Amino acid sequence: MSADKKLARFDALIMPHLDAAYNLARWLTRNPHDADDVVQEACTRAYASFDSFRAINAKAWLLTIVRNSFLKQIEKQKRGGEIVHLDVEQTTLGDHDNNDAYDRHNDNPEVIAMRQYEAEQIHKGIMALTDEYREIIILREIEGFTYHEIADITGTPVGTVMSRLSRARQKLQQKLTGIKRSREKTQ
Amino acid sequence: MNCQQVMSLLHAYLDRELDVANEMALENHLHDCPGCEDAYKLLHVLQTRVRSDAKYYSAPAELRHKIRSSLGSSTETVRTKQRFWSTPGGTGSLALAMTILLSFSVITYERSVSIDDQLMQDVTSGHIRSLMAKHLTDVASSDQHQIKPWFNSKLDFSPQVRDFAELGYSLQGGRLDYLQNRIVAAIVYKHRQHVINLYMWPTGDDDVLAVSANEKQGYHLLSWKRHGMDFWLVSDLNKRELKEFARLLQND
Repeated sequence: MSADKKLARFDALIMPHLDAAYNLARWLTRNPHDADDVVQEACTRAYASFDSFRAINAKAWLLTIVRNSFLKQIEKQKRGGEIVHLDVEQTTLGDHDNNDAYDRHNDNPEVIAMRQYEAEQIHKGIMALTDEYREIIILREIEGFTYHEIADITGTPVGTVMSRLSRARQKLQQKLTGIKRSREKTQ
Repeated sequence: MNCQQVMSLLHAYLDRELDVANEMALENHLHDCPGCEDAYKLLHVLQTRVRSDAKYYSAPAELRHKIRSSLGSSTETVRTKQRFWSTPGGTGSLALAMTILLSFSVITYERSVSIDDQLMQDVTSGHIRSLMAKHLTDVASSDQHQIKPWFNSKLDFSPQVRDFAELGYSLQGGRLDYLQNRIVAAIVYKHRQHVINLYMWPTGDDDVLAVSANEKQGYHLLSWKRHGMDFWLVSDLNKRELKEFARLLQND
């Protein structure tokens, strides 16, 4: 493949999934700085091995590489005692991409405030999950992958995907009820 | 199916990963067992909340740019650009070229607004009609090789029909619609529960227009021109995913 042709093909097949790659990296690393590094590293590696790319599902292929780059980054940070970025971001919900539904259906400020609060709880709940659980929630609920695709991306059997997902949801549910209870107590 | 079995399959049921037989057995059980039904409802609420509330982080533009230029440091184009900048008068003529280009795009933009507003309304109405009248498709099939010939016998052009079920956008069928005083092809896709209408018709010119995004009555619209065809995507699906789908459609 000529360099130009390779680049054009990469542009057409892989670059459309950059948002998904970044979204996953951002959720995994929990901070924008590391997310940038992971995605850059992943894209470089994807491009390097692109000649052998035969997969049908380009998005799953790219996200597999993103995931591996993230694991590598953790390894490196552990080994090198590198500063781990702890500026896990504060939830700001004003710039949500995908909750347009809020904007239209109800203008009542109290309802809006309540919904924002609930949305924040979901966000915090997911952020507080372990890497493994957070990852599977994002892959399934946000990126919409099937069990088989998740199995491919994470290199685990489908059965494990199923049980891990159910545990992740249980944990998330517990965190949410926990938050609700402690809130009710203080009121 | 007993409660224990149901509990072990509940997540797979929620994620629509069960085979038909198990799905039906589980549904029957939920119908008769309030306890399991409650457990399912709780899960369903959680899933819906996560899907609508979890933030989606799009790649920052700078990062996209950085990655793209690091891959494609196609040295040739970089060098040509540098040479152009550095020639005496190069900057001047570049500025002039930019001005011309800018004024040109302003003119075309203004012209297209008035035409497209009516068209946008028509596209949106067509989409809403297709949802309400229970007349989503004239030919219901997920097989592109079935839909294409059907269109070919009814249109004076041959629409591209492709299935993207692998990527989550499954082909539902095709329909004839009426836009811009002509019969156009409407290809219907579904992404999760969202219906997407893809309209296309020949424009007769070779203009190439990048995707432009609009919103009308709560629906998202994307349009572009390519290969002498006009394309319009309309759906209540969020803008991000609709754009992703547009990119897929543009990949030849």
